[in-house]
Amino acid sequence: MTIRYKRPDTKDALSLVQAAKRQMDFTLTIEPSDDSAFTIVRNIYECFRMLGDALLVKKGIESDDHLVPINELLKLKVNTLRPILLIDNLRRLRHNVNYYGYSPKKAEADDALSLAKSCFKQLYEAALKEVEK
Amino acid sequence: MNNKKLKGITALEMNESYLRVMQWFFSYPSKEIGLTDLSETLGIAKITARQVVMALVETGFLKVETIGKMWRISSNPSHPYNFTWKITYNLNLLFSSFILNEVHKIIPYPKATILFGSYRKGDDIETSDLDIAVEVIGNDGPKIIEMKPIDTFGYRKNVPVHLYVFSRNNVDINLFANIANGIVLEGFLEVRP
Repeated sequence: MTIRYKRPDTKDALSLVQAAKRQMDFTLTIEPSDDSAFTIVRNIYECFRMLGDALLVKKGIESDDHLVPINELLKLKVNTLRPILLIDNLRRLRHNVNYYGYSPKKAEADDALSLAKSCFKQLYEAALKEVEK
Repeated sequence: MNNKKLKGITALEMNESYLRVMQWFFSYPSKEIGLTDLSETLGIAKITARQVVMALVETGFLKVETIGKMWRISSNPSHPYNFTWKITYNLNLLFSSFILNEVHKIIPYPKATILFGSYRKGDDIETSDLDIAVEVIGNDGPKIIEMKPIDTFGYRKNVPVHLYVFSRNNVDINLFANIANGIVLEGFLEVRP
């Protein structure tokens, strides 16, 4: 894992948070199936990662892997219906999809959608608050 | 631990021997063994073995019964070492055995992998099975897969491994509670209050 320190960039961070929200809103409209599971799982994961990335950008940190932004996101204090640590399971799933050719199933897309519905709004609002500080 | 040095025995050797004796009794909690056999089995000097055994008797982990000039050494299964250090010892052996690689050959992408049962609690004995649970997505009922035994697990040989494959949508609450009180080896197991 490599971390590079840059100047904190509030504008860039805000842009990332807003893009994550837009993408998530769109992804939640996709009908889950075995065919769409690939897109749903990856999109939902990316939206969470972008929130974590935004928190890092706000601090002036650039990371070249996915662990650092997800860990940053998991530091947020939020009250959610499902535990936010499940995002790390989503990270592992996306890793298997991207690098080991695993084909996610509809059940996995359903689970990712359920996680997004129960956590994303709270994390988005908390990340936005951090970025706007 | 009694660290009084014996002539020619360094503190490090003593420490290493102490661990070996303890680990042997972790592996064979219900066996009795003589001092000579113990020192030969573990490849340590009899004088060192004697000192280690005495130190462990002092802590209450071992018991010694004297029959004439012979010692019959056994462990005390209710001693706290069996529920503290033994668990970390089991975990260390588990990761060293690369059993997770074997699990992945059967279930390539589990949501979470959990050690539960006797090896998690430290009350495993010579004949205990190693119980590993894997959570998968979907609605399938739990199934138990008998895996290839682990050749060497500390001082034990051919330890049987059972893989419990379950999905949270179709699992008995008692089995799930048991699994949830295990040790998560990889992934994240979702539980609710």
